[in-house]
Amino acid sequence: MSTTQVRLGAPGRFAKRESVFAYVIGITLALAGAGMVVCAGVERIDGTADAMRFLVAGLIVAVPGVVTWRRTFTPSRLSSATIFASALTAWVTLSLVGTIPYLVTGVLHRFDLALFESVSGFTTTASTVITGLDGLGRGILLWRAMTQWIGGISIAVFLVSVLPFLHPAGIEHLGGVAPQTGADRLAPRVRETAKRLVLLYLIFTAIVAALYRVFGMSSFDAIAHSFTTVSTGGFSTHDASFAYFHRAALEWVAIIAMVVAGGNFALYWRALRGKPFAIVRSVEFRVYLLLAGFLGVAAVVSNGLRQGWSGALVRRTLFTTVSISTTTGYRLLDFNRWSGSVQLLLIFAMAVGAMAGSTGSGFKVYRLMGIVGHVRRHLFRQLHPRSVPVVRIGHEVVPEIVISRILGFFGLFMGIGAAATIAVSALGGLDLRTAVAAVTSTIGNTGIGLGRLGPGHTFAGLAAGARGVLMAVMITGRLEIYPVLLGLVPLARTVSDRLPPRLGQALVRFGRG
Amino acid sequence: MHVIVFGAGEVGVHIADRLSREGHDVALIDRDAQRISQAEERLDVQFIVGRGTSPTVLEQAGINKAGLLVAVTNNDEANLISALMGKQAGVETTIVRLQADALRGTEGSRLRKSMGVDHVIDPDFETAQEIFELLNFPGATEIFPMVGGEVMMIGARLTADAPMVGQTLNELARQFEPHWDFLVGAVTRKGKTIIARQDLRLEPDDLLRIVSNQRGRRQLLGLLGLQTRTPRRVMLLGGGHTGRILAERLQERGAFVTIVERKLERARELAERLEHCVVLEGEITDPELLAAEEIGRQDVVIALTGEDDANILACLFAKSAGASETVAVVHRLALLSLVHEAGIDVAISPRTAIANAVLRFVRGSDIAAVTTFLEGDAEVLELTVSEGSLAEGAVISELPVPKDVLVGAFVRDGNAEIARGRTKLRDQDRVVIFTKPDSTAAVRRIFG
Repeated sequence: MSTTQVRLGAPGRFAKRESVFAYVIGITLALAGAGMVVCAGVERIDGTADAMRFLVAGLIVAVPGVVTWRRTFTPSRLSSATIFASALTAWVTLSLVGTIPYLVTGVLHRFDLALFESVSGFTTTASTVITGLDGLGRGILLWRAMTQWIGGISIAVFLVSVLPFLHPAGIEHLGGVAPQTGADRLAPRVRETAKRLVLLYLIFTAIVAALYRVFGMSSFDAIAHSFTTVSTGGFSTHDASFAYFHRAALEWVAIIAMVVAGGNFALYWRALRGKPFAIVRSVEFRVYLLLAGFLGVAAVVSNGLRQGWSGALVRRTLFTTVSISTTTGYRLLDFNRWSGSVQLLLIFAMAVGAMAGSTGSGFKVYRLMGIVGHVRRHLFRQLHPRSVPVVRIGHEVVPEIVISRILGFFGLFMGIGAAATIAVSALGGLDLRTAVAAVTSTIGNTGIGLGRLGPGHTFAGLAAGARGVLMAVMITGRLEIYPVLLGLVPLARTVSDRLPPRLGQALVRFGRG
Repeated sequence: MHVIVFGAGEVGVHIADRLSREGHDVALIDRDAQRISQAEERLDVQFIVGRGTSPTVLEQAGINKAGLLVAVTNNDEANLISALMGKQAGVETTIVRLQADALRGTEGSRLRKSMGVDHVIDPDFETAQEIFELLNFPGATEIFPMVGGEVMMIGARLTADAPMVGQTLNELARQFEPHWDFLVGAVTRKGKTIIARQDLRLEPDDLLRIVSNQRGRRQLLGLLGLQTRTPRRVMLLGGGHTGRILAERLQERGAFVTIVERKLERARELAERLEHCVVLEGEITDPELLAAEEIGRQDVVIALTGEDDANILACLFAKSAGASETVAVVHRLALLSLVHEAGIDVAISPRTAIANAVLRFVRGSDIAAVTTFLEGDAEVLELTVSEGSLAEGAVISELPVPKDVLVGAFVRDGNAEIARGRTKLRDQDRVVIFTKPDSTAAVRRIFG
């Protein structure tokens, strides 16, 4: 595997230990612990007994986290396997630690339910097992929103600033940043890129929170919803989700904010740096809007014909479709009652998801364009066998390796999706529609399915085994598959080393195909 | 004037030949001894084998007394360096061939200035330009825009059924009174070129050189027995520099362009650069490939590789398969008559473009453009009537010009008009004049 210059922590005054995993785990613990302490503060204001629980939990998590983080550094050269594995480690750690607040506050009593809620949060899905949100303390509601906010920025940093350095020639596409020339990159170094992304994310969150507040949310709701909007997460502080608010202006703000959150952050950065037309000129951005627009119009027409036309219906239908196609997952209308064809379009939209380089998830518009380009070239070559094969995504020529990665990704995406659908359906006793929608919705980190797992339902009633599969699917989808599969390689290596030689070899051979 | 030409490729040899025939004292430099010895047989110039970027070689070529340095190798950098060295040695004018777009464009202007480059030529670009113009004027064999495109110099061969045939120029002109939008300036018949006279009767197969303003275009097409159409499907055989420039312009105009290129690497480069063109890898003389790509259904097939025989063969194949119009780039002048006889519609030589470009600079600053032709030794000059000259305020019919000089058109305040005998010329009029090379001096005396 290739190695690359990714330095996340530099050696300082103290003698530091070199370990990627300890470093990553340290940071994630520190981050999660800090979040808990903030929640403790909110509970303190409200004067509940949970304040102390949050504080203690937060400190127990954060202190070892900070110590580990400050006492370790990453080696200057990392193999891609290590980077993948550390990403996987980070999400698993976050998910595990994220269960603590649910358990200590007694909101959830079972570890597996708490883990589901935690995984759904950190992967910016919106699937939940909790009912009665309106009766919960503000600390735990903020924690839910915060898991998505942390998950959103972490994935953006990982996909946009870390992954591209693994394979400068092409993994940008895998990782999701469309531009492939050095000059187009956000910044030459991981650190710089990450800093800019975080800055952009903070500004965006502040703007959305302010708008929500101005247009009628309470300050707390505004902050919590801004967290879950910019991360395309979708958790709400109310059981009714966005339907709770009943404000046209808020819905419009959310529609626009969700669309922005599903767009490529690299484009926004360039726009801020004085190239506002980069956004309009990006073919991927146009296709992204076109797909979202098409879904919206189809749903509006279908609903309009069935239920009669009204401004509110148009707006609320649009909100619902945008919530799905940006993989956010706020609920407004019950699309379980929409026409079958529009439901199929929703499933397609969940699978495709948002733009590469956004906090949104899914197959990504960029990869869809790559597949279309590949198919077009394939057909064209049938007509002109001697033509020189060049594939473009938008107007940009992409190297062959990128296309083959996208095709590989497509295979994995469909394969994992199919296997998970079968497993979920078998373990949970689900019908086809529910199973397909549940898996599509979780692999794309949208979070609301159809049928029994559709709007207004939670995942609490689902069999534990099926929920377990969905958790795995969420993480796999969020990390864009490769880090999960390849991150398991070092693990598999460790395991096979410890197994009897014969069995170990068989395992390795299986792994290599 | 002493002239140094660096680069004895097709371009350099042609320039050296042209200039030496006009009485200039020419030294031709090339690294390749074989090329030099080939040229030696045909040209009456001084030959030097060596690098044009070497001070000793340049000195040997007489850099200190040279008034003009023409650097036309295939290497942009070498051309630039020799221009700089020429300037340092006191050469008045440098003409440099540059092929890289970035060097030719405004981005490169500072570099060009500091390298002492006075004029830039790119034969490939000029050839592409000429072919592009020809595509807008089907049936024409030559076309050169003059006075910034206000006036067109059009060369066309008369077919037997053209309405013009059998008329004298006088009769022809009378049909269009009182307003003329075009004028026949020179006629080439059986290899001999004459500057047009009123009583000349047009015959089939005459090669006419006509000057026309923008309005006259349509009339002219009718009289020549041609129809206007814009080609939609164009096939380019050969993906060199000329082909690329042409493909870019055609693609911009919305034509369906197919390019056949032999080298895979170059083909890939083209395919990446030209988003809307089909780029095929293959030989331009591969009948199976050409047939599979429906060469017969193309509006225009243009063969522009460096190999004359391949170009001609491919055009013949295209013609027999049914392509409407074929254009061949031909480098060897001896093949030209053959090309016409074989039924290929247009033969283009990069040499005309080169000669026009270089002669413009050699003739001096008062002549804005020179157009020469592949066949026939007439020239068309573009110049400005200067204050105090014999021409200023004079009526054209009363000008003391030699017999083989004809004022074709003039542009005044942005309006292009065909010149009449009664036209009174004014200061700052830009005039287009047909002449034989021997009379250029007289023309300059009268107008300059």
